[in-house]
Amino acid sequence: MKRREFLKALAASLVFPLVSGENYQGVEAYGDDPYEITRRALKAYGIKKLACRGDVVLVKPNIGWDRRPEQAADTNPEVVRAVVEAAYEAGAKKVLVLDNPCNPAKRTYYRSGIARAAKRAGAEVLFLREGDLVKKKIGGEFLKEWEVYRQALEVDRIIDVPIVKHHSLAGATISMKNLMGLIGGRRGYLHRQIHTAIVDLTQFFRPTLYVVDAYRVLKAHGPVGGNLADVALKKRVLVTSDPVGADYWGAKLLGLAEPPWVKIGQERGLGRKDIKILRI
Amino acid sequence: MKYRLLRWLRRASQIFFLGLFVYLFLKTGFFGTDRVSPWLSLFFRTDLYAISLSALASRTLQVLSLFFLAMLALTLIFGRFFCGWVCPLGTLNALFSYVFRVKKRRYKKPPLKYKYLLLLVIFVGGLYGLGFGGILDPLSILFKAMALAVHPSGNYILEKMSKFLPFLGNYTLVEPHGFYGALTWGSLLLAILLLNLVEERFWCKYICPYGALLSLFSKGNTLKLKIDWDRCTRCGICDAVCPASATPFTGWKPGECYQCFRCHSVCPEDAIYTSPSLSLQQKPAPVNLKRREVLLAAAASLLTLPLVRAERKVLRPPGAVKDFTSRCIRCGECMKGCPTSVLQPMGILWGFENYGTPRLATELSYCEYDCLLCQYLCPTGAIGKFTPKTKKMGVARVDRSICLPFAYGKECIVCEEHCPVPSKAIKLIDVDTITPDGKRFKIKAPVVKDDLCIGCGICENKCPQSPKAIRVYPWEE
Repeated sequence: MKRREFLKALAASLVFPLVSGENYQGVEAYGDDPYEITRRALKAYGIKKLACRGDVVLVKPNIGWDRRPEQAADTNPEVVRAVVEAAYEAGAKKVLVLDNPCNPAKRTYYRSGIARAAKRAGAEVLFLREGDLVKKKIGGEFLKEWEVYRQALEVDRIIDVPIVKHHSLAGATISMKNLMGLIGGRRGYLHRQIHTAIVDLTQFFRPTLYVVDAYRVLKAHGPVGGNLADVALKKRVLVTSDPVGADYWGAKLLGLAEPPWVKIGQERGLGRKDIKILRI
Repeated sequence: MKYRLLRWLRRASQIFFLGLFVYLFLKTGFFGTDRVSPWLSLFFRTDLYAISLSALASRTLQVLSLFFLAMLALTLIFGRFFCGWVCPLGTLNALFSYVFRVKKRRYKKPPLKYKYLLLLVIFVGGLYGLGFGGILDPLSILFKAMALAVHPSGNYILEKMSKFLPFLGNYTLVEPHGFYGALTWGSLLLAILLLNLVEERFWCKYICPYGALLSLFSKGNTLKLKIDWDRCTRCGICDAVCPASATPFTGWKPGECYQCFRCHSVCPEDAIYTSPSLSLQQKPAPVNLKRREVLLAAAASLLTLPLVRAERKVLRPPGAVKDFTSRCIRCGECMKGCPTSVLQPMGILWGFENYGTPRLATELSYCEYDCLLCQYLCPTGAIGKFTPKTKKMGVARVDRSICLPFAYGKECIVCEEHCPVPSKAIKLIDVDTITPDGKRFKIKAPVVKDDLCIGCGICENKCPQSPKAIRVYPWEE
């Protein structure tokens, strides 16, 4: 951590409780417009916390599938736009938006609407290529070594912008599982011990912030979805720096009690599920 | 002077159409919209040879491809202008001959007739529903060679170069795919180009069946080449320079002439001129086709019928019609356009009738659920209209003896996760499993619902097992 960064964080941690009166670890915003609620939540959380001056920030939405925004298989493009804009406001030098999708990248980037929305906010939308992969020691409990996209290693910080979705094996895919988009290789292997694997990944990448999109959530037939009947309008967004709290919050929206990976994450000290959330 | 200008105009036209061909080629694919213009396959929609063969073989015709009649009309008026002014492969042949300074070596008796016999074999086969003539269509050869060989290898070179010149990385393909038959089709194009070393535009003169067909319609075209015999010094240079063996001096063959205006501009006495006239008085010099040869070729075509017929069931592109091999002209538009490159040309082992037609190569890739491109690109309607909901290419089958949860008791469900059917064609059931160590427990395992499965093959593609524990097979109702 740079000294300046440290001082800023220190100042923020001193000031935040004074302003809010209580120690909140997350902000949840509710409203009709996905862009507006994200903006509101980020403002309440503190836009300054998104980036330091001159940072290169990687915004990692879920662009996994060749689906339209209303099918809720990918992060809402308006949420992504709000995050990119806020990162620039906080002083970021450059914001990258990328993912390693399960469907053809060009189609997912365009049809999810994220490529256009992110570009509009000034982000650099990158397609990942085979040559960008580097073998890296993950040092997790299940994942010892894996191929990781170099962009994720080169940036100053990662902002994880997942969508809340049903997943037939993990139960749900939220912020921790979203990080599977930063690795390559035979990702299906992670399914052998999916809960441990995604906690390993979170520990490895350590995103600085989680902006969880629950404007629309996919309740069934995830993670691909496609059926509008499976989509529920929840109209909320959560901003937090706690992955365990974020995933617990998201899983609750899907009606899941306590998913295994939340438990593992808490045991390993990644965060706490019962974070205090400011609702606005 | 006038003819020198016309010759330059012809060269400009050749470059323009070659450029247009390459431009449309590069534009064929997904660029952010689900619907693409059917005019991306402009060259094939106006392809008199391929479209009429497809129409003959399948007895059907696409409305948008009726423009091949325009080509017919233009040929009746202007002769084989297509070969000299438009055809991109012809332009490449001419360029190659020019660049390598091909010596003007000539056959004493140019074997002009074989292309007509070849055309006859192809069209008599067409009468019986055989569409394999498409593999000899010059446009289709060029397009497939570009799509399957030149484009992927060019991208590969660019990728390697971008190691040293990073900015080149922006121009490489995001998801490069290889193609079966890349070597075959690339070599075919190379062979055609190398034939120019034997004689200038060897392919166009002696083999090209499209040229042969055009020549049938240009016997009586209105652009009559004439020689002013008062001026002519009988030097015969026009015969020597003619790239088409149309022999202006010893007897002009209008069916062979490309209307290229080379002889006009080369003639030292300016004795050659073209006068538009409708009269048929000038008797065209014949190509010596014997009746016996014609009958033999027609009979040979019928005899090959049982040899080339392939009855094997194969996975076809979405929306493929029943008489697919008859309608398909092997142009390769769908293969170039396919964003996942699941459409691959079939090799010779699939039967000659299927040779060069697209199949769904689920062992390499998969058909993207929401993608609709190939139906707009197909110039003959061999790939009929479809929506994501009406796609039905095949059906997936699970091999429980190698499937991870079934056979090894390991968590997987990757196939179910990727299944794009909104209500999931792959269902998960809890089964009792037994690991190789003898542990027994319940685990989630996949089963396929036949009626929901569209056979896109993403499950096969993403299955972590090797050999694949779920595969797509042709669907039979």
